[in-house]
Amino acid sequence: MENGFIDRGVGHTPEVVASPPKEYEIVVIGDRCKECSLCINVCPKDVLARGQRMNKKGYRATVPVKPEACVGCRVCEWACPDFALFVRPSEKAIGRVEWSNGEEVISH
Amino acid sequence: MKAEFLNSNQAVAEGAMAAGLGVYVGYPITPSSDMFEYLSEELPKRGGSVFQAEDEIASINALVGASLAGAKSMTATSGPGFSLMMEGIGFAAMVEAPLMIVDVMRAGPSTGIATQIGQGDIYQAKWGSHGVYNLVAYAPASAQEAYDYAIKSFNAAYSVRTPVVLMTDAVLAHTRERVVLRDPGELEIVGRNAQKVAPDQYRPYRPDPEDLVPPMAFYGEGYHPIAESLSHDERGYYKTDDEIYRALVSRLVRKVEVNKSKLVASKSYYAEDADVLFVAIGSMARNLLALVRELRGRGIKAGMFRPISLWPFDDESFVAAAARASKIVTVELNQGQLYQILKGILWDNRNKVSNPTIYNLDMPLPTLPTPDEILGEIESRGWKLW
Amino acid sequence: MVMLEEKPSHPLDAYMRTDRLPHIWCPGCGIGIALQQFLWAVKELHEEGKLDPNKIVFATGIGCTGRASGFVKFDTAHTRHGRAIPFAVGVKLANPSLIPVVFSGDGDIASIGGNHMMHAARRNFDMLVIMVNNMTYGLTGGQLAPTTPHSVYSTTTPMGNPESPIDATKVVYSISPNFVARMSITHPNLIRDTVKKALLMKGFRWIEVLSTCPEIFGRHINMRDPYELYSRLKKVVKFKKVASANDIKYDWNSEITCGVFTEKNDPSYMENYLSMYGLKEKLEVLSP
Repeated sequence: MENGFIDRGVGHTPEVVASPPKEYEIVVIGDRCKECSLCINVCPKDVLARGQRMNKKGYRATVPVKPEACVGCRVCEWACPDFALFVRPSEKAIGRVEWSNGEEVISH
Repeated sequence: MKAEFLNSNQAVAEGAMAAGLGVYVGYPITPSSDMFEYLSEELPKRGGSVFQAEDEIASINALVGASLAGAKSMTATSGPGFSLMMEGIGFAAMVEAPLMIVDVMRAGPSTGIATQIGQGDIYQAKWGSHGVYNLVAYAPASAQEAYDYAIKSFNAAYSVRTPVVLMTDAVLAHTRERVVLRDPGELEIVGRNAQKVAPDQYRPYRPDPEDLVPPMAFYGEGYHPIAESLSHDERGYYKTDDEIYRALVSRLVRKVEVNKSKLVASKSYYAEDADVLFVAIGSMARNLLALVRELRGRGIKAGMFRPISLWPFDDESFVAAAARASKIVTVELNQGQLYQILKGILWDNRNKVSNPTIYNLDMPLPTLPTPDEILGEIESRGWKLW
Repeated sequence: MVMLEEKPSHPLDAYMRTDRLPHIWCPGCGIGIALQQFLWAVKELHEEGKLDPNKIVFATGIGCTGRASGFVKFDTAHTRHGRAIPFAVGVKLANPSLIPVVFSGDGDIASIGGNHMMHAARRNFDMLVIMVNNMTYGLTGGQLAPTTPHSVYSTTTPMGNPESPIDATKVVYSISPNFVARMSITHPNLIRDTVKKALLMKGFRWIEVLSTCPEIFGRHINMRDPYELYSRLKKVVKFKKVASANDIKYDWNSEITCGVFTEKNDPSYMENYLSMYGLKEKLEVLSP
C-alpha cells in the first residue's frame, strides 16, 4: 500500500461487480444547487453544464446535458457541497433536473 | 436513616449521591477540592463516574453534555471557577439542561483568599451570565441543610430544567456537624418529566402549558433531540424572528417564576414581634442568630430572617417577617447584596410593611465576625437600632 | 417535462433534516463536501450493520462548520465556541454506549478549543473529532485564524498575517492518540474511507479535513472562484506516509501533508477509567 492511501478492501462500491453497468442516471435537485460549478469543472467527460432556469434562491441549476457520456465515476456527486446531485446506474443514460414544485426536466 | 458526623462538603456529596448523582466533572479549587476528592472515591462505588477536566470551562460544558445524555450531573467550585463557568451556565439555561453547581464561596474578588469565607457571589449566581434567563440558587447554613438542599437542588433542576446553584461557604465546608442521612424510601426525588409523544411528533422545546417546562428526551432514546445555543423555535431550529426569540427567553424566565412556590425556602426566628429584623445567610446567619438571642435576653425585640432560596427569593415570607419591624438590618460579608435585593422587595411591598428603614451592615471580611464583633460594628456606625 | 410523484431526494436525505435544505453555506464551500462524506460513511456502516446511527451524538461548536448540527438527523448539539469536545466528554461519561462525534472548524477547535483538543487527545478520550479547516473565521467575516497562512490578508491583519500558523494535526500527532489523519475535500472518497475506519475504532480519533472558503478566504487571496480555489488546494495537498512529526508539513505555499499518520488500538480513557474504578456495567455497554 503506497502513498498513505487506505486499503478500502475489495468490492467497496456497489458498482464494482462482475459486469458493471454502462449507463448512468444523473439527478440534479434544482432548488439545492448554488451554481458553484465544481461539478461541471471536475467531470472528466463534460457531462454537465450550467442551466438557464433559476431556482428559488436565484441560482441556475446544473443540467446533465450529455448523460450518455457519463462513466459513473461520481466525482461530480462527491464534489457537490449541497447534496444537490447524485449518480446511479441505470438501464438507459438519462439526466434529470428535479424541482420542488414537482416538475422534472429530463435530458437524454 | 443514620446519623453521621460530616462537614458540609461531605454532606453535599452525600445528598447528591442520595439524589442519584451519575456524573461529577470538576476541577480542583479551594475550598471545594475535598468534595471532589470524596466523590472520586465514593461515587464510583455507587455506579457513577468522576472526571477531572482540564479547567472549569471544560467542567461546566461537560455537565451540559452529561445532563442531556441522561445523567444527574454536578460540579463544585468557588468564586474564580464560578466566574469561568458563567458562559456554560448560560448555555445550560438556553438548552434547558438540569444540573447542579456548588459554589463554596470564598473571599474575592479574583484569587482573593482561597482558604477563607466570602459571601460575595449572591448576585453573580443569578445575573452572572449574559442575556435573559433564570435559574434557582440555594444557600444552606448547616451541614444538615447542605445535605437536604443538595437533594432539593436536583429536584428543582429537574422540575424547571435549569442549572441550580448551591451556595455554601469556606467555613461550612470544613465544619463538622451531625447530619442525618435518610434512606432511599424516605426521600422525595424528582427526575425528568419524560417525553410521551412519538419521535416524529417530538419538539424538544415545546413546553408543558402549565409549568412551561418542556418534557425531556435524553440522547440515545431515538428522539434526535437538538441542543441549540442559538435562539430557537420549538423544534430547536435557529430563528431570529422577534416573536420566537421573545417567546423563548420570556419562557426561560417565567418557568421559574410560575413554579416559585415549589422552589422558595426560608426561615424566620423571633419575627412575630420583632422591631429590628436582621437578615443574613449561611455561616453569618449562625453567628447572627446568637447575637439575636443575646439581644432578646436583654429585652430587645430583635428577630432574624434567613433566606435559604436566594433565587427565587422568598419575598412573601420576608414581607410577613418584616411586617411589624421598623428597622431591617442586612449583615453580610460583602458590599451589600442582600441589601440591594431587600430594598427592591420592600419598595414593591411598601403597603404591607410599616415603613421600615433598611440598614446595610456590609462587613467585607474574610473571617466570620463573632456576635460581639457584629454588635461592635453596629455601634461603630452610630446606628440607634434600639 | 414530467410531474414527480414524490419530492426530489438525495440518497443521504434519510440522515438529514431536509426541511432545512438548501443549507446556509456559500457556493463552493468545502464544509458541505466534508459533511457529505461523513454521512456516506455513516450510511454505509449502518447498512453493513456495524453502526447504529441512533447512538451518534453529533456535537458542533460555533462557526460555519458548527452549523452542521442543524442539518443532520442525529442527536445533536450546537454548543458554545470551542466547547464541543468537553460537551462530548460529558455525553460519554453519562452514557458510554453513545458515540460522540465532534464536527467543528479550525478556529473553534484549535484556537479557543485548543486546550480541550490537547487534553482529549492526551487522554485518548473516546470520541471522533473532525476538524474542518478553511484557514479563516468564516462566519464572522474573515478574521485571522490560528491556521491562516503567514502574510495572508485577514480582516484583523489587514497588512498581512505576521504570525505563523499552527499545524493542529502535527500537534495531535505528537500527543499520540489512537488515530490521527489529515484529509482534504479535494479527495472526498478518502474522507469517507477514513471516517468509516475511525468510527469503528476506540479512543481519540482525529481527522482534519482541509477545506475551501471561496467567499472569504478565497477572496482574501484573490481566488474567489470556487473551482480556482479548489484546484489551488488540490495542488498543495500531498498524500504521504510519515515516520515522524518532522515529515508532517503545513505550508500553503509548498505542501500540506495528508494521509493516515497514526492508527493504533491503545486502551481508551473510558476503558481505563471504568475498569480501574470497578464500573463493570458501564464497561459492558461501552461502544467505540
